[in-house]
Amino acid sequence: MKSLNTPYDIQSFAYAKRSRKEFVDEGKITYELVLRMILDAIHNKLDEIDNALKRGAKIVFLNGTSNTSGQIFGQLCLEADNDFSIKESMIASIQLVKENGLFVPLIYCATGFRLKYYVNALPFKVPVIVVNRQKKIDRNKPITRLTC
Amino acid sequence: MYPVLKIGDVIIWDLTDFDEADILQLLASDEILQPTKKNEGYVTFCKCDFNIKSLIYERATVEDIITGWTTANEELKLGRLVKWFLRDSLYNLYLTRNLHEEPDVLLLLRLVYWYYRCSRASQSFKLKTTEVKGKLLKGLLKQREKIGKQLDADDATKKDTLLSDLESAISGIIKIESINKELKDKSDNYRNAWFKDVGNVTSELLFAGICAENSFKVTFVLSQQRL
Repeated sequence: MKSLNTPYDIQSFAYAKRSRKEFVDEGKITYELVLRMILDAIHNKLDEIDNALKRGAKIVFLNGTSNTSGQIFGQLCLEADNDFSIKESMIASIQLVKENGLFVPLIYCATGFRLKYYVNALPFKVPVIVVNRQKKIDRNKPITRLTC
Repeated sequence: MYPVLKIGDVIIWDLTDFDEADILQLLASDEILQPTKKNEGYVTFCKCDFNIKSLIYERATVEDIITGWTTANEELKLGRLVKWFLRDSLYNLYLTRNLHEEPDVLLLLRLVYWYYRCSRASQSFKLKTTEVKGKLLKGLLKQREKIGKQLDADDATKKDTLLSDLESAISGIIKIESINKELKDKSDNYRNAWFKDVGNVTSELLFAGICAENSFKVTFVLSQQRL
């Protein structure tokens, strides 16, 4: 398991929160938009994911909390009243590791607080190739949602 | 000014005591380094009250956090570093009060909570502590302490002036340039680097802790054993 973060600093966090408010005010938040933003966040981390694979990671976690994608994802979960369970993501990811060596699961998550602290998660399939017995991301193939 | 954040009738954080406290006394006090129990649902830290179910984890208890703090402090020897960064965190509390941003001292409470949860989840966690310590300390401590001494020695940047200047700057009354900007920037860079590392470590421990909570077997290994 390897955990990555979107940049954590006060400025990026504050910017992400401000963006979230603008998206809410303008009624722009849809599942498709959230998915696109999450995929962008993942694509910005491809080198770090490769590094995680080099270190032997079977499952990669990406914590998007301080990124706009994480904030928008949290808002979607709130509005949809849908708990995107990290447990379901883990089960699907472990299944993928066992059954299909052509992909590495990546669990994207975002944390936040309301009346309780929440951790929402969404799993993805990252296509990989093996070069010199070393897994690397296959950047010619798309990263897609992993169904729970 | 927003010293209290509420959701409905539930207080999420209350900074009233922090606002009313003498900042110089706070900075000189070791008491602010220790989270204490306010009641079953709230921890007091830096004279601020935090709702732990909302801000740390829904299953967190005050005892977990206090024990976690003691454990992490002993095992990671965070005392010196935390003291410096906590001092900087007080600036952030002014940001919180004015802009309603999450107080970044919360990150430290989350770190010790998940550190404690992971230490309880697996005997193998002791293999992880050296790595965690390395990530959090690196060379930052000496560098940050050196800057702290320079800041303190500089007449123009005595703590009280610095704090009041920062607060005024936040309120837009004066420009930040009146502070010893070079040292302040360096200080901010070290602080941000450390908080980024704390964020990374905390998120790693959080995932491991939640996996363990959901009945997945969690085993920690040394970095060189991963391949």
